[in-house]
Amino acid sequence: MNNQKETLTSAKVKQDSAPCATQAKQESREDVHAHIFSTSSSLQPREGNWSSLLNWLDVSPDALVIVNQTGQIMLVNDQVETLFGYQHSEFIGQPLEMLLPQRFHEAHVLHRERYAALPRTRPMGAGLELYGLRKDGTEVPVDISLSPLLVDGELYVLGAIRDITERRRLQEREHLARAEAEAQLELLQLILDELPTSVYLVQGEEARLVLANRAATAVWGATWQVGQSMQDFLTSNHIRVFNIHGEIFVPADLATLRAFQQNEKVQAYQESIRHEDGTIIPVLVNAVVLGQHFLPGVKVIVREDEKKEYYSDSAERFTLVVQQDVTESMELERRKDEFIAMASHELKTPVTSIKTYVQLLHRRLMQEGNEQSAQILTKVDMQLGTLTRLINELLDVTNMATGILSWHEEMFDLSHLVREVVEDLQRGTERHRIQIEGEVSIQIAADRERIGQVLSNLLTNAIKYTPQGGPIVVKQRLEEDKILLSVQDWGIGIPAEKQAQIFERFYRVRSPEHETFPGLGLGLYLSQEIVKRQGGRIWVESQAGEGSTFYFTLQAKPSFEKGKGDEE
Amino acid sequence: MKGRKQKTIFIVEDNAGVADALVLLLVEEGYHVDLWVQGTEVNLQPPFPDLILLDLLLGGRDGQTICRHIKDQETTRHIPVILMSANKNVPRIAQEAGADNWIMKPFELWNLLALLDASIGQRQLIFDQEVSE
Repeated sequence: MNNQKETLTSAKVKQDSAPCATQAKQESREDVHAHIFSTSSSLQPREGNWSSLLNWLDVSPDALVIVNQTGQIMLVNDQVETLFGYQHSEFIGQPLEMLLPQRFHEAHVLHRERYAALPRTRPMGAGLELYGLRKDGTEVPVDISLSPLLVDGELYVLGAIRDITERRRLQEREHLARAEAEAQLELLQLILDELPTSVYLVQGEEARLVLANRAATAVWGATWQVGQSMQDFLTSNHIRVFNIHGEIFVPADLATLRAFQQNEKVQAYQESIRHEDGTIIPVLVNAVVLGQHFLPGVKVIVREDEKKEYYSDSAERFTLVVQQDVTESMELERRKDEFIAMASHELKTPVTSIKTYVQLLHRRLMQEGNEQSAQILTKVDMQLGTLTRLINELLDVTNMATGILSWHEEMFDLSHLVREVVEDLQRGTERHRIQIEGEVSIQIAADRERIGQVLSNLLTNAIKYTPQGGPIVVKQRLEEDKILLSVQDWGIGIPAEKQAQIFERFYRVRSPEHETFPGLGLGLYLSQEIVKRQGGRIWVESQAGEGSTFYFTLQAKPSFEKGKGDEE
Repeated sequence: MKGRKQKTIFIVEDNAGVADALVLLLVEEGYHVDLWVQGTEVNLQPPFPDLILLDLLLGGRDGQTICRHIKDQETTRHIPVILMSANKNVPRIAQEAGADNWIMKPFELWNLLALLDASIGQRQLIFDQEVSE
């Protein structure tokens, strides 16, 4: 091969087995250029002569072959020799088919004849995979372009052959990588589809879908198209999402969008999805924002030609969303609540009857002057009061969970209520002295019984957690449009680390010294809910071993202050 | 105001325990008491009672419906009705049904007696006024 290179141009000019080469006229390079590269019309063969051709054949990076109308090879450049492994002399005068695998021969002859009839510059075998045949019998993938050529008035065809082995290899590798990534993603899809939990992946601020599993389609009641934004998906399918209170979600508050916008992990977010047909699916949503490096496969795979395409267009982050359909557990919860509500109601009936009997008996004993026995019945009655309160708490908590806490607003004098509650609780204890300080006689609009319930809860706690007895102080203070009430005791107090939790549902301070105190752990939770509902706030200041002060505020809504004693 | 002995109270209560305790109490208080244990039995004929103590949750016909009916009739509208219930929504229900007052179960004895006195007294005053006009 090195040999040939040395003799490159001269050899070809000398070896003029090419019949016309000898007649070549010397022309200036500019003329050659004008002739050969004339692109005036691709239908018109280019014109030139052999000598001008020889000047540029070897500068081409492609292998160039010139054949006559009968398909005989007239001229080749150096690259052809390199590509096919023949000596220059072995080509000349041979049929072009020597460079093609046997299987293409027959068809090629036909193609060649057809080309001769309508010669123009074009790629050969467009869309087909072309191969050349080397001298050693191996095949090489090639691209071929054809161009008609007029040399000294005669029509020839110039074929430019390019070895595309490397390109094919790269394509193949890319194809393989793509297939592998697709397979991985398909496997992922398969796994996700088998999950009972709804899972979907969205991209960017608008939450455009990348992929979703079957359960997601079931939860949404519609198919979310890949690339479709969440808002568009919801709107076009008439899907509405409600929060726990049955209010429609502002889009930005949806777990999926919220996680992305605030770049935070959203956990156990409650949403109710309503389909167009009215079906409601309550879900718990977890959403987490992922960096792009989590999904190397997704970006490669954008298959627009298939019905399943994976969307990805920029460096925007992804949000992975998992929805758990809680229809069943909600139903169980609902039945449990219903049961408790019914049970509470059923329990109250016998309590009513017992209470009436007890009070009746108490009155008789008093009339008979048997005060000692009457005292015992007072204690029974107190216990019945506790029982009633517990039943009510259970009922309230279950009702609160369903958002139907009964509320009956009326105007009343707060100081009267405070006095009533204090007197009621004082009756149940001899060791504690409940004092009222700073009485504010003010009419407020609220649920009298509920506010009484809060005060009663706080006082019950103060009594319960001051086992040694002592004073308990109830204070009222008017502050602009608010009334501040406080209940202070000097009992065992609450450790600082537990103060934040005491308002939680079913929470009870657990420590050796607290173990002996009974209760459901609902009182403070209910109190907080009631105070919040009234537009107020409840909090505690306490130190372990030194006692606690519970505060709560009430809005002094449309009200008019009354001077003390106006009522009497 | 007439003495308690001359006053008649109708109790509509389907729970035997509660009904029995109420009858015992009211009789001891000097009222004349009639008891219906079924909502469907309620059928008011003159002479009308001075007050009706009506349970909300009754078999057959609930207290709300009965109250509404009493308050819709020209002849019975004047009879004070007190709705009794363990339901926390009794204030609202009582208002909607046109009841004169309500009491939450379980109740304090003194509370019920005060309510009865007030309801009968109030009604009596209005009645006396109407008569005198």
